[in-house]
Amino acid sequence: MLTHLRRGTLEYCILASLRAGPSYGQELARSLGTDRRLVDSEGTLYPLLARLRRRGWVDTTWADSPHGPPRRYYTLTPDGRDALSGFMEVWDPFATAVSRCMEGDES
Amino acid sequence: MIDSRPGGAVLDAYVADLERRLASADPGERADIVASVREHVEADLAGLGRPATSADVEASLTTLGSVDTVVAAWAPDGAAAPAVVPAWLPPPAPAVPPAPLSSRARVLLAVAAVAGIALAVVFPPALLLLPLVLLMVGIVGARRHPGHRTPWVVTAVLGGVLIPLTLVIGPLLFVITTSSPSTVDEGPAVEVESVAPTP
Repeated sequence: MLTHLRRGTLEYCILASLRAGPSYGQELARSLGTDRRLVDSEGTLYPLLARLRRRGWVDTTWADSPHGPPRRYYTLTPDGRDALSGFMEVWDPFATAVSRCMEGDES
Repeated sequence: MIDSRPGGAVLDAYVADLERRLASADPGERADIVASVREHVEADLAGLGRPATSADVEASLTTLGSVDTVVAAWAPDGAAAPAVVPAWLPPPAPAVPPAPLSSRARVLLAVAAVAGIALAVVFPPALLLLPLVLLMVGIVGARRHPGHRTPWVVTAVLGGVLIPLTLVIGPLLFVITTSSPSTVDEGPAVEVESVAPTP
């Protein structure tokens, strides 16, 4: 069930996580993975990040790490910011409609 | 290149399996995903602050999830579906049954059929209009009931086939039905003389 619900929404959660600034894969995975309902396997983020990059919604740059190999940082692009805004516009009314439906409120 | 560090073989096997399962992905995308996964494990191990062990590598791979899980997250984009349909895909939707005719449509059809039969009995030449009526009813029905088109299409085709036949049969029927017995040439009248019997 969660797999179906995550599909199509998790990538916008990634975009939302990048609003505050660039982040690297492991950091994103740990951040989103704090809620297991969103991410229960950190590896599932990487196909989504690759897809977002292909769409031009995120960009990547390399930066040195204080320990270990250089890190690939993901940055939200203007197109990605627009996509996130579009999602947020429809998400709240949609979620409200679903909640109302689940509660059986027909008013 | 074979990773000779502790756990390196496990990581190599994981990455090789992932690469193989993503064989149908765009090469750039596949390389991106595989490299990111490897970087994730490297970052995990570097964060330990001590030489990594095989258990550390396995623990990192556990948090990543199975190769199946990672591939499943890639596949929904539909760029190229895996050869085997994974279990996470919803079952195919059952075929939508055709919408039954509404009760109103059934009543109208019954009334039209009865009226047509009555008209044909009272005024047989009206049958000549039947193909045209069938064609029109079939076309309109097929447009109004896209989920239940077959009977309507059959009706329209039947009407279309009967129209040229009617154009041939119609004039003949018209001649037959409009001819009155007085106009039929019955040949010369024969006058029969009554002959008195001879005594």
